Amino acid sequence: MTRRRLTAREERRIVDGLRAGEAAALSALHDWLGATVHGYLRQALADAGAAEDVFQLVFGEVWRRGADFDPRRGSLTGWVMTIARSRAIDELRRRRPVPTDPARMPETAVESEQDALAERWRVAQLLRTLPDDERELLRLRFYEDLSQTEIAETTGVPLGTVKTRMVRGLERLQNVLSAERTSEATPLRDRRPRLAGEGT
Amino acid sequence: MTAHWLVEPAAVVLGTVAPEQRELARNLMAGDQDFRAEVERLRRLADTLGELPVGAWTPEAAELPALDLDRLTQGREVPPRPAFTPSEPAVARPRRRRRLVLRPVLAAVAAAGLLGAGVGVGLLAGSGDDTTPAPRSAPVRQTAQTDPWVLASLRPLPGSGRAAATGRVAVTLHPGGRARLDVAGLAPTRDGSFYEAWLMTDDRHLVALGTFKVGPRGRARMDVPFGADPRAYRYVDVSLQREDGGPGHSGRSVLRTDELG
Repeated sequence: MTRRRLTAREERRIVDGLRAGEAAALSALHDWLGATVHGYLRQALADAGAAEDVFQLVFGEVWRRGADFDPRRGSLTGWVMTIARSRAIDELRRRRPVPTDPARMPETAVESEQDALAERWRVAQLLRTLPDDERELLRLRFYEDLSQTEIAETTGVPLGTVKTRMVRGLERLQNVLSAERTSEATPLRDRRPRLAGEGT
Repeated sequence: MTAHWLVEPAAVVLGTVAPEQRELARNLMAGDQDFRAEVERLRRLADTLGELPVGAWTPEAAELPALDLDRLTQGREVPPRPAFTPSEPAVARPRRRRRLVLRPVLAAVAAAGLLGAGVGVGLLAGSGDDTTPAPRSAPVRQTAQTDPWVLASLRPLPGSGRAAATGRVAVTLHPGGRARLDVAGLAPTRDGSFYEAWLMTDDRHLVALGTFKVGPRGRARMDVPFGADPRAYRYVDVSLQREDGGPGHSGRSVLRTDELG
């Protein structure tokens, strides 16, 4: 992993900077969240060139709407991923021919698919909040598909420590995810930044 | 959230419950609704982790597109405020980084006579603006972030039987650098076999980068130093090797990049 996690204070500074129209805040957000947005777009669009184009659109929209973002309505990660999901769906719809068979319901399929994909990448972003050792053990377990014994052999970490860190890492990730969801009363597809002057 | 249980729900999901606590865990699953719900939440999270794509675990700085800040930030009028001053850099790497540029290239079919042909799009490292000074607290991977890298996709070769296999490889563009490789969709290695990555131009000009095994999920990651000059080779190739075979390329390539450029 190449990006360290942000503290809550740093995230607030980015939010304040976006609201104030500070270009450095957009740059900091790009550094922090760019790989996740880009990874999601590359997978969703399966086209590196289109992913890069949409990537620029997403951050352009973040910039334009930054003053409207209300952290009380949800997390910054969730907000940016919602924009990315919407722009990805726009791009996918643009590519598709007009459906001739209503029973196929392609629009619903696209949205549902993108919800699941965006949620996965959101979890990927939250993984970065974990300490390096816990994240690496989860990677070995869930990505490399290694057993606990194999992980202990690979890393040289005692088996008991492997178990403890994996448990702690999974619980910590669940707690971060729960905290984000608690602050977001509505599911991903329904969230949008609240405009200034709209009711709370 | 889980402190009031003697057994951790995550331990149930991960299968790390100590033998002397298994009976208690079974009782909690059977009789404690909150415990069961927490286990289910964690299980869904574990399922999601198992579905994360390659890049979610190991995002590479080299492939992140740079923002065109001058263009993006035009035209938004905002009230004056104190300047944005993060307490420390939000990320420990130069802001403007080497950017990858897509350039169509025709792969030299003849050059890969031993193992097949490759035609397509190569990823070349373009010249970036690395004028931003490094942050004060240099990260562990600072060298990897500032070195020139070439990043390329690995594609299955015709006849490999793994049409869904994918991967990517990042190689530092100087002798004595590093190579990182992520693959997915490959057949799990059996006893007596392994995969090997190569820098290759043709059957006479190639050098091994490293070997790796693939588990039941078909995925693997390799991160190795190497001594060769990658600029002297045209492709990165992955072959299936037998342990009782010779040290050379087996002739059974399963993945290859387009021409590195």
